[in-house]
Formats: sequence, structure tokens, C-alpha cells
Amino acid sequence: MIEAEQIEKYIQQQGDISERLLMEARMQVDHELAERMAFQKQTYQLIREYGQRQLRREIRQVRKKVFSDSAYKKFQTKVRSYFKI
Amino acid sequence: MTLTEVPMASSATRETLFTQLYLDTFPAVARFVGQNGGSLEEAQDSFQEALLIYYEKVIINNFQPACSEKAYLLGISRNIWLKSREKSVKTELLDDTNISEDSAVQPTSEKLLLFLQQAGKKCMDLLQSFYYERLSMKELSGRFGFGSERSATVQKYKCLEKVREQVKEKSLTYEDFLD
Repeated sequence: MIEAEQIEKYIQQQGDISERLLMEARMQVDHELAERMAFQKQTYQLIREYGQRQLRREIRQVRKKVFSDSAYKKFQTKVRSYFKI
Repeated sequence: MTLTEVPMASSATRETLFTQLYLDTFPAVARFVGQNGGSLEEAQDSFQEALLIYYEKVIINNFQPACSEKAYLLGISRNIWLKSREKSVKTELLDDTNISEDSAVQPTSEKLLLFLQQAGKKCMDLLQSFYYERLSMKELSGRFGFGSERSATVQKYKCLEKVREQVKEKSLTYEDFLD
């Protein structure tokens, strides 16, 4: 098993108790393993942000499209009517 | 690296979905914001943020709202707009000492993400498809052209280790990545 997979299982609290205890014992003696675990947690957070950014970009493109493309003229007129100038 | 260049398979589907949501639900959001003295831009910003939350909850996490999905999206949009309004009132009161949430967006991850994307977009795309979009190993294999679910799994963890090492390297090398 790739180490990242073992770390992931530990973080997600999967695996049985003996595996978890083994991991904890290893971290006690191997500080770099503990460090890798910390960086892996940070990596998950970054992946989430990366995904959100991509999604935001796609949403912004659709926003631009529906508010500027003449194919959506009816929609634009309707929406603008709700705002007094 | 055996990843083949595959465009985001479902981005076209997403475009259709988002477009439909704009056409179906945005007018109701705009009317609410307009009636309460807000601007079109505020309505647009709130809706944009609401779409992200909606997508995460309903599409990624399969959450089924008790009301209709349209009503749910409208509700999220309203809440976001009302909150932002509250905030801007507070900001006005505080005058110079305002710290808006936007400016608090961490520059740390901004730079780091940019670096990670440049260093290995394929890995980041693969990882976000699994961890963020929660595609199954089977879907992942399809999107990225892996021969089997096993090789997709192996590649995913290899990518995870690669990115993790890059994060570590950058965190230790450059002080400007630290707050």
C-alpha cells in the first residue's frame, strides 16, 4: 500500500484499531511521518479550494454569458425591470 | 505520469445546468433584492456564491432539500444577500477600520494554488475530481482514461504524494507562503 493511502485511512479514521495504533506508534518515533500527515491534511484543503475555484470560474463564465449574450435578451430585460435606475 | 490530456468531461453538462439555474431562478432572486433596495450587481454576486453552495450540497453531496430545488437555491441566495447587506451596514459604521471578508482571503493558498496548478495541473485535476467532486473510481478512470480502477487508485495516491511534497517544499522554502 502506498504510504499516502495509509495516511489517508488514518486521517479518515478508517481501518481497524490495530492499524491505527501502529500508525500512532510509528509517528511517535518517525517525526517526518507526522509531518507528512500534517502536509497531507493541508493538501486536502488545497484540493478543495482548487475545486471551488474551478467551479467559480465556470459559474462566472455562465454569468457573463447570460447577461451579455443577445440570445438571452428576454431574460436580461426581465431581470433589469426589477431595478429602478 | 500516465495521465492523458482529457478535458473536464462534465464541464459542458455543468454549463447547461448553471445556465438553466440562472434562467429559472435568478429572476426571483433579482426581484427579491430589487424590492429590498439592493442592486443588480449585488443580486448577481449573491447568486453566484449561492450556485457554488447549491452545487456542493445538491450535486456533489446528493443533499435533497425539503422544498423544491429552485426554492432552496432562492433561499440560499437571499441569505447570502441579507448577510452581505448586514455586513456592509456594519462596515459603514466602523468606517476606516473595516476588514471585509474578501480582503481576508488568504494570499498564502492563492500563491500556493497557482504554483501547484503550474507544476502539475493534471494531478490537481485528478485529485479534485476525486476529493472535491467525489467521482467514483470508475468515473475517474473514464474521465482520465485509465485502464482499470486499480491503476486509477495508484495514480491518485502518487499524485497526492507528489502534491503533498510540493506543498511541503514550498512551505519550507518560501517565507512568503507563510502568513
